[in-house]
Amino acid sequence: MCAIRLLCETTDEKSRLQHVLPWIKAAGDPYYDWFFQDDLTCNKFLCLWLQNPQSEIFIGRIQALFVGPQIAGGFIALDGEDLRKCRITDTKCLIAKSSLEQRRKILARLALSEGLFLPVSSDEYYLSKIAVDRGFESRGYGSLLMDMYLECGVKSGFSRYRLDVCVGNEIAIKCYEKFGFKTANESTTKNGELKYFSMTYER
Amino acid sequence: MSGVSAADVKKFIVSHLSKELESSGRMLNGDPPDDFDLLQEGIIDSLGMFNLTAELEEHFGQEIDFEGLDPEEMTIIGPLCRYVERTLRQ
Repeated sequence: MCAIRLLCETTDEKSRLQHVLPWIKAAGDPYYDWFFQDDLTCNKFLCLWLQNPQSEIFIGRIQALFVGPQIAGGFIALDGEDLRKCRITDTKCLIAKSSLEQRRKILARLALSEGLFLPVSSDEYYLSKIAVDRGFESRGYGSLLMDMYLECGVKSGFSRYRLDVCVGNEIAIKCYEKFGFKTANESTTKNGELKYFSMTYER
Repeated sequence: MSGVSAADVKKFIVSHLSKELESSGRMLNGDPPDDFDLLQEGIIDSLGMFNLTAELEEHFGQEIDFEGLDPEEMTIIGPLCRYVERTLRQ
């Protein structure tokens, strides 16, 4: 029996955070790895963002897929205007909570990744994160989550959908194509280390 | 203790951002009001915010801890300048 629920409506905050951190990290990689360059810094900021209601990855935004009592995966989706505001908030958090040395490294990464992710318009429903837990892979839950993401978009009145995916993530790309997404753009970091497709779907 | 005033900080910010904007053919009012939000007015973006903090530190020769600044006020010229002044004086 599967059900989708907001994660914040379940379990206590500490266990939610412990459960979600590896999940959200995997969903954001390889960008997170590339951007933060070390796990300690990455985990520090992901934890801060997950607990901030104005963050793109606030734990309260996560739509979790429950299989019985267990969480099999989840997604975060938001419109372009919300996304823009959230990313500004997350940047301010980076500035406030990082040392001078960390700020210099982050600044260099930001400069290299400028233009990697195209702006999302306010009428697009953006799939910010999606992931299936390790113990639940290869059982069709990814497709189920995609169905649920699109359904959430329809309920909220969206007809245009957007996501970014790493060029090397062929399994995910095939899944998105199965749902009608098409590659609209390919972008690369200025040093060529990361390549992402921007994919769109209109229904 | 630093003798840097909020007016000095503002002068530097305006001068720095004016140079940045020049390349895109835009201009920044020489004396923006206290509540002028650099982000809302499209003067800076996320990268610009980081750049500005780095430039402030380099120009005034001191690391600035931004943790005490309300994130909502981080890009508003008056509160930002007064915060930098206070921090540099500590």
